[in-house]
Amino acid sequence: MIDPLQEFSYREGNYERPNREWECGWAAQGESCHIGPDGAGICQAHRECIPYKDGDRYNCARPINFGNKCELGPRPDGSCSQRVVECQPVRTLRQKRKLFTFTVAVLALGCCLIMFGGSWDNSLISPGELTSQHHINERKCSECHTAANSSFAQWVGIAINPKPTPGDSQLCLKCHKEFGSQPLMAHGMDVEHLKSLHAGRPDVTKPGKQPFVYALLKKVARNPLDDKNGLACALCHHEHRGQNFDLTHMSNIQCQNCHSAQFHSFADGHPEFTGFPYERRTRLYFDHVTHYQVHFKSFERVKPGAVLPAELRDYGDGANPSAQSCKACHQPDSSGRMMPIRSFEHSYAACHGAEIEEDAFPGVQLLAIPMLDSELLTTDGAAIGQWPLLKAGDGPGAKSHDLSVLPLMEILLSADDNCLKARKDFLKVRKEIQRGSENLDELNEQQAEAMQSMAWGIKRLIHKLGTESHATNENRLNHLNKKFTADGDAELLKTLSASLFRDPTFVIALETAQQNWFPDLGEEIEGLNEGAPPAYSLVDVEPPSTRDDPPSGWYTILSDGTLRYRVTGHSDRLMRAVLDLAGRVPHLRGAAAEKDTPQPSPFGALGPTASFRCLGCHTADKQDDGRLVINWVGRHVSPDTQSFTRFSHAPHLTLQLAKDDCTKCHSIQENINFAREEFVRFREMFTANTNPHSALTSGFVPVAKATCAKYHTSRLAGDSCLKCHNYHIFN
Amino acid sequence: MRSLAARRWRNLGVFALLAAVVLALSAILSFSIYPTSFASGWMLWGLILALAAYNVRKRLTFLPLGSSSKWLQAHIYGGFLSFVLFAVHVEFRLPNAPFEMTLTVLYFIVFFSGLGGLAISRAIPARLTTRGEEVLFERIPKFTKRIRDDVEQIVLGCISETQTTAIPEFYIDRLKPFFGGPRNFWQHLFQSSRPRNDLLEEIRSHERFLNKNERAAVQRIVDLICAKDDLDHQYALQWTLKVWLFAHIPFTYALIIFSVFHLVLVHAFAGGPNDRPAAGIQLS
Repeated sequence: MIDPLQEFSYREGNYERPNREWECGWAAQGESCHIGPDGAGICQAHRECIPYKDGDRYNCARPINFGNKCELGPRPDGSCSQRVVECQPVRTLRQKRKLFTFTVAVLALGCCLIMFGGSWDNSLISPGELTSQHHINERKCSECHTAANSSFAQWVGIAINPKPTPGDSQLCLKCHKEFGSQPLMAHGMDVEHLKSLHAGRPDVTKPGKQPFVYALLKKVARNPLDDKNGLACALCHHEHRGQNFDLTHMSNIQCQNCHSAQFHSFADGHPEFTGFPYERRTRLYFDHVTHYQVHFKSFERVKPGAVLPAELRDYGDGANPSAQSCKACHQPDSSGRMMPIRSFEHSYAACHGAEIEEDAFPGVQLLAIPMLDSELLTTDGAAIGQWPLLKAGDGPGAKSHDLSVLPLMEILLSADDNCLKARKDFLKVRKEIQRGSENLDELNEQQAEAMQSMAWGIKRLIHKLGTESHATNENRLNHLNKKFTADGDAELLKTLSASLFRDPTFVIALETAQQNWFPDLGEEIEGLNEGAPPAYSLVDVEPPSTRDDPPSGWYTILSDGTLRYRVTGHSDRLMRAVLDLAGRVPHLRGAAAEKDTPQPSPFGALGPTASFRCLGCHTADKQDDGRLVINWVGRHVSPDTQSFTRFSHAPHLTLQLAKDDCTKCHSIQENINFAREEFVRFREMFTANTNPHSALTSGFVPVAKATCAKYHTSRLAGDSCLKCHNYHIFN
Repeated sequence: MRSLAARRWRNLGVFALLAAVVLALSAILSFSIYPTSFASGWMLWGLILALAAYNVRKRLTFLPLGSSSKWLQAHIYGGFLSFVLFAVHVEFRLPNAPFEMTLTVLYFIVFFSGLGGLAISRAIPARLTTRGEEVLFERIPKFTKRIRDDVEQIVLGCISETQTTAIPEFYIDRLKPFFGGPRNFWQHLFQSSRPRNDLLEEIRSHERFLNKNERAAVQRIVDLICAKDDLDHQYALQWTLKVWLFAHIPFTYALIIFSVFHLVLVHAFAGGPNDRPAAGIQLS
């Protein structure tokens, strides 16, 4: 055993101050001096003893704890006789730690300044890799962040005082231009419009039944909707999470943050479907019920001599169509989303192709002159020159005083301003006649003048069409694009002019008509131009002894005053152009301004042949401005549009469940009335149904939510909102 | 006065409650459309500053800011809470960008050094009392020298008294390096007495060749070897107690500096006016 090493006595050792910065350089060897270095790290060993003079002698002044007075004592000159061994003081452990702390802090600050201020193009401060969609080589931060062009001081300013600015979302929109005019507003829609949509929906949240998590969420975070500034892109799309991060991922609860009606899941609380997917009338009329339950069953009787296509032979029973028969007409598109109708040749042609080309029916009357009352004109002394005596047909001159003008005539007349004015006056007269407010046994001055102007307008048009070159006529028609301003109208006018004036059958038919109806038209126009219009004279039209109308193209029926056109087949260019432009006629008349007033359909004037052959299948939708747009193709989803709901057939068709049985989702309506009002009215009155939201469906029961909810649960096919809904709505 | 166990349970309870609140709040906010990182980030930053304030508190001993032991307890459990907040803030994943990675590494250095420091400060003081004399760390070199001087006196005495060189030669060969300064650091840290036993065994193996006086001298040397070994033990443990702070404190300041830049960065690049709750979160 040895004695204790440590004794706590002021004589035995120094007080070891824990916060001193320096220690004796000999301390590590255990030979430190008693006094130690000063605060600046300077050795103080020579101060251990500073002899003091007492009388004529110097005395040792070394304190007891430094070793007490030495035996030798000071030298005569007053210097200490002990050898003073000075050292190089070293920092204490604490001081070393302080120095290391300072060094690390300075290094950290330096690193930050280099990272933020260096010419690294902010790559060092990027919070992570971009998603693969945005991951482009040498992408600069400033392409997506407005702050990237600011200085660090400005960043500090933003952090201290964040002010609402358009921010980075505007930079997102530089590339994402498809989101419409208000892309940052909720769903890219005008606030009022969105509210109006919401107003029309029933409130699905039962009182007191709001899921607990939403009630809790309302207490913690505010509703992100901001009618003024909109929603920042970064609110939903979190970037810099790596290449494989799903930028569009949103949980169901997150989706419902903004919604006032909140529910648990698709199966529990989601609103029932209302008419899905038949919110609007189908674009092509096709009554599946009648076809499956009547036409296919008795095909031989309905189509004598025709053969039911092979794909339809096993069409199932009337209530459960076979998948094979469905696929005869519907095939998935390239994206797999829709099951569009196949082309006419692959679907309808086998059954309905012959009807279109059937020449037993008369051609479609596209041009006609009105039948005028010869007695009235004679009594009134109208100066309209020669005018044929027509017999009633199925055209606009079927009844005396029915001054209707066919759409094509109306289009052609609109090229001439004088004709247009006359046409307007003429319409005014017709309105008065229709109202029965005027007795047409006598024409007043205004009525006589309108009728006269209209008659001359028609005659002048026929004269021009017959005498001027086809280039001039085409040019005149093409210049109508000032009046037909909708998208595609210019192209339609070009198609129409080319199809009309370059068609020899039209030229011949027109010439025949002019020679028989207005034999002296040239002289009459000259007289009119000289201010001496000839008086009314009746021309008796002799019908040809034999019918010589061609199987396709133009021909004239002199007796009823019509120029008719027999189509060359399905999707005839001229017929499509005429019908499309006819749909613009109400707009031309200013029907948009009279939206509340029922307007006669321009297609009705074309007679049953056009109605049956084209508009029997192709529907027309009335637009807000009065135009009628014909649906030449079935529903197709443009990549440039996006609605609230989306559905993709492809994944469903891979399932055994629906692979061979389309009726799992699309079941045929039961107890359906084959003589539904909308069909009857169309077939008897030849009036096109122009309301896209009418009840006319194609015979299927709307899909119920329960049908989907059975499989779309979180455990089976998933019930994420994003499976069926889009956030960004644009078209 | 509460017992240590009671205080520990109370502190653990408070920590568990706060951690549960943080996790619950994070879970609720994760349901919202807002990123939770702003709320958790601000909370984490505030907590880090509060934890760092403990270092300041130790300097300001004259201010009535509560006892240091209470501060230490708060520092310990606050540190644990910061780990929960950090995990929530980074959404339980490791970042893969230079700046964020540096920040994460700094946090981990600070947290795990703190965790290590806690373990050290709980385990070592008890071990310091188990062997030898408890001495001040700063005095250890001095005591080492004193022991070395004593041993050298004994060795010199052997030369003059016994006229033999066995002990001096053994001292030169084996003992001088041992007495030269702190030895066997890691062995002492991990409570291994093998070096000491080996040395003593070696001495005992020589004893049969020594005469009586030499044996008496060797016995005194053995006592001094034990004393020196105890000093080494003290040195190793006390040095460890002091040195872990070299990781904890400097990197705390580095973490704060980086986090300030991080804070500026995330707000400047936030992405728009409406991408976060107006004031982090809106509590009603």
